[in-house]
Amino acid sequence: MTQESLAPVAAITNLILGIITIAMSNRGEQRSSHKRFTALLIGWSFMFLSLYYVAETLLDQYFISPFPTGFDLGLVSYEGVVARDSLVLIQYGANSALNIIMLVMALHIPKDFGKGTYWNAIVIAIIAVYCIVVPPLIFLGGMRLAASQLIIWVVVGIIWTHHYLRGIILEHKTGDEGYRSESKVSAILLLIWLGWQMVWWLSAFTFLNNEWFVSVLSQLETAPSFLWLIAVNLGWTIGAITVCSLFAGEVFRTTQRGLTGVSALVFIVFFLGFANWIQDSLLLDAYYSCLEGNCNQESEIFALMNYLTSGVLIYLLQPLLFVYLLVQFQIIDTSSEENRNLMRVMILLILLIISSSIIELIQSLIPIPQMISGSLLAIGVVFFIGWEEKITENFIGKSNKSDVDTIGGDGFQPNLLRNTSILMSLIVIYMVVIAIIFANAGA
Amino acid sequence: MDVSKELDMSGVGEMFNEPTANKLTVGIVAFFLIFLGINTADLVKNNEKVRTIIDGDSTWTVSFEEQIIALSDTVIIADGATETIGFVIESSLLAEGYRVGGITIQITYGETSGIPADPIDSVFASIDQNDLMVVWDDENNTKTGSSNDGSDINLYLRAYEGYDGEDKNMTGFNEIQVLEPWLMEGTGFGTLNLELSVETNALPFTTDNEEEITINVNIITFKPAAIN
Repeated sequence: MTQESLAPVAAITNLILGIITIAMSNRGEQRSSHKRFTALLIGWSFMFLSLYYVAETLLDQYFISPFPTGFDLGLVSYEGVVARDSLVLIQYGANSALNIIMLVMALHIPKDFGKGTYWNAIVIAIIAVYCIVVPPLIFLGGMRLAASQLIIWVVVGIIWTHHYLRGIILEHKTGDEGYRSESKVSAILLLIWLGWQMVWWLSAFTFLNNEWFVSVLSQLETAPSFLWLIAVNLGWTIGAITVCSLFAGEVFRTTQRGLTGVSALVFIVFFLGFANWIQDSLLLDAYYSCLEGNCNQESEIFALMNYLTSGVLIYLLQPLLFVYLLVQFQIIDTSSEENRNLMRVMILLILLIISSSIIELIQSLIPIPQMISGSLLAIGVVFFIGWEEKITENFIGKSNKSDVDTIGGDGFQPNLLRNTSILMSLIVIYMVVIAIIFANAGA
Repeated sequence: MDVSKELDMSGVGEMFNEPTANKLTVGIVAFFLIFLGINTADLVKNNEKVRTIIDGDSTWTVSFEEQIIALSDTVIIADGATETIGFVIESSLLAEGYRVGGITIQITYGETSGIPADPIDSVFASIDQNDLMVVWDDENNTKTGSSNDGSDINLYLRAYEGYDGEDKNMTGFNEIQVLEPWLMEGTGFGTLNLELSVETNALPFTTDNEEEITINVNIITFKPAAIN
């Protein structure tokens, strides 16, 4: 049983969503510039995610399929094949850009940490300096340096968890729905950025992730440093702690005020932790096989579980949640007719892509004939076209005032917003160019 | 919108204005640090275990304990005739843990006509290539032979790829890995078909129209053992 990679789907989805979001962020000059900047951040997150998945797709197609978290931990290195190495370095570069954008988002959403022109300039300068300096440092200093970026995950995890808890507590104390919006946006952002690490929470608490990592350690030619071993656990640990915080918060809130969509999503992610733990327990022998027996790492169960949990969260749920955030919190202007058309494209596109991916996913698990899956997709298309207006209205009309007001902060001067887009475009070009240069140099 | 030029970090203060949330966050951070420490200690322990094996001595010597299984048959073949003699080699012949490494065949005959000074007959032998599980194209194989002076005909078939009875130096992290190439099942099993033909040489006015031939088949079986 083999699973089709979802990376190509994610690459196309993120690219289209990125273009639409950036285009929409440039419209409506009278709107809150803070929200326009937020839309830009999300738009460029889509673009860097797309760049990352394009490289991953090509790498997977022609060269290698690295370990899950292989790029976060710096496990993929040079091999002297220029095309392969270029793709690998592009992924490292895009990963760095995504890390710093995530940090800037945490300092910026739901509430700005700072105010004033200098603060805004500093934030943008941090993105630029980080993207210019960090990738070459990793390329020159050794790929394992990439793992040090996981500190950003910890900082981001703590900031949004604090926002989340603050929102839950203040909503309980004051009854003000505005605080729910704050906790909701923090929870969604945590699920977007760290969700795929959260599904391994029980394996982290029972040290089974470390057992899985033995299969990685047994492939390393040189002994890893102590600092790198600390970094390895940063992602799992922060993922485990944030999902438990979210779970506790949502259980508390559900008992007080009833179940919401966000609560259900948190419960599902939390439940997946049990499924992955069972899988880890079943595969313990395979993890040690290279040391204690014959190497047996090509486990179909592991590939399937990883595909159905982390894979679906990263490739499908991440863009969906970003779109939800854009619409629900009115980060993009949905009031003008011009933007509404783009919104329709965005919503229908993501619904169609996700439904077709889910059908593909089911087909890869259960061998149903293509005639049936094709018919199912056709039914989906007809449904989406027939109810297009209702679906769009449902998405757009659901925003309540507290959600709309949650994301707020200092204004950005128009030239700063324009410069952000130019800067991000240059960073994309820079990432690709330095990747090709370093790959050719075989650093 | 007018934007102040001053750097104002009041957002940080606002973020920490809820004491209960602050306490919970401090607790979470403390738990994070403790848990990270414990988790890292566990991973370091795993890593040490891994490095002990990987960086340790990974060279092994694989030696082979041999057992020979002998089969034999005697046939009388008429002058000018060709006969095929079959020997069935199956797992029931082998001791536990042994595999077939090779097969040697020795064909012996003498002049059995009983006529004084009768010249020695000629014997031709060849192994039929069939579904017997051996390495048919091995360069050490001797699949045909003949004799016209009564000397033995020796044939050989390698049954196990690379097996020659000599100790081997192997690398691997454990015994299972180094022994794995020597644990293939089924080699040497099947029917060994030996084709024999005779041409008699007789003195004038005498009759010598057959020859008695003895075939000794030795099945070389081995059991591998690894020493670090």
